[in-house]
Amino acid sequence: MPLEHLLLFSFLLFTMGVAGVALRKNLLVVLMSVELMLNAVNLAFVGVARLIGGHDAHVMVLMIYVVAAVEVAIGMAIVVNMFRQKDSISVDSFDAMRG
Amino acid sequence: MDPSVLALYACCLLALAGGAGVVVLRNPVHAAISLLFTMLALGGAYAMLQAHLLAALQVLIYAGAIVILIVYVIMLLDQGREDVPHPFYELGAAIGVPVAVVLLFIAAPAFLGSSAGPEPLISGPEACTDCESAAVTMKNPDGSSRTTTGCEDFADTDGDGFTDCNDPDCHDNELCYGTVRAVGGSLLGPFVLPFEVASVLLLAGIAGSILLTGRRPKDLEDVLPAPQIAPAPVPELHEGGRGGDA
Repeated sequence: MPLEHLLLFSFLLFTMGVAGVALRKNLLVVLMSVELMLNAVNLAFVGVARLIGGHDAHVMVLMIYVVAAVEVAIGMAIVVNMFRQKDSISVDSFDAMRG
Repeated sequence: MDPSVLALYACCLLALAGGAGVVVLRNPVHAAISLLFTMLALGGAYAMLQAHLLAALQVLIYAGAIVILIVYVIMLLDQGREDVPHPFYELGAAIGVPVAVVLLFIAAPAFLGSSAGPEPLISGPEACTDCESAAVTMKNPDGSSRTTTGCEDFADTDGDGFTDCNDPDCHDNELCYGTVRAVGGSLLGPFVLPFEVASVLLLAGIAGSILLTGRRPKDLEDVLPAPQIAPAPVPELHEGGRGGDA
């Protein structure tokens, strides 16, 4: 498999993530789409690391794992709080900066 | 075509299908299961790309922890389906989808038309006939070095009791690529500062999620019957926490 194909897969996955963030109304699905984008970047990192050798990209992917885990933990906490406030997690319910 | 190349394509296609499911499926539980398939397929792709540690961590962290956390929150909220008729009937979709398609057509030639690298990413049978170029050089304890083709996975080339994959003297060769030892050596060597900063980030995540979701003790009094709460210490804790916030 040439690297171009892998990068194309990665790009398609990233585009799906962008589409999910832009189109979906459910806040949980939006967060899942963010995870998709992070994973697409991980795939590109691993593929390039395979081509050029070395483990720097692997370390970078590990750091992305940490960021993704923290992001999900905080994001889920925020989603739970938002649901407590408005009894809905539709993105459209949260259109005011305060109140 | 080599089976490992086929498996890599299959894993990538599965990941794409799972990603499409996340975006398209309306039930959040189905979307989460679809995300789980994406994570598992990507783990397989990492394994095909010789990133063994990352493949294991992908399954453990993403499929095992993150997706489960998302499913827990879906279960906790119990908000049912979206009340939107279909995600793609919105006005935003009318703008967003063409933009995404145009972006794809702008970026795709960069991947497909360049053909910069005729060198395949993983080449199946050649991987072992290519062993001379990927020869393993290891230093013996007496300072001399030995070179091996390294075609045997569990060979012990320099006879020091470690197989080549686990040999402390072996760095950056084809055999120890992507293993725990190699990535760990990188992580605790040149990247030790990001490694430590990541621990601070995790601590901030723990503190933030506790602060955001933790019920205040006052709410706890409403929910729980009175005898279950220790009478004296809880108000003190409550006051202390408030004082810290202020």
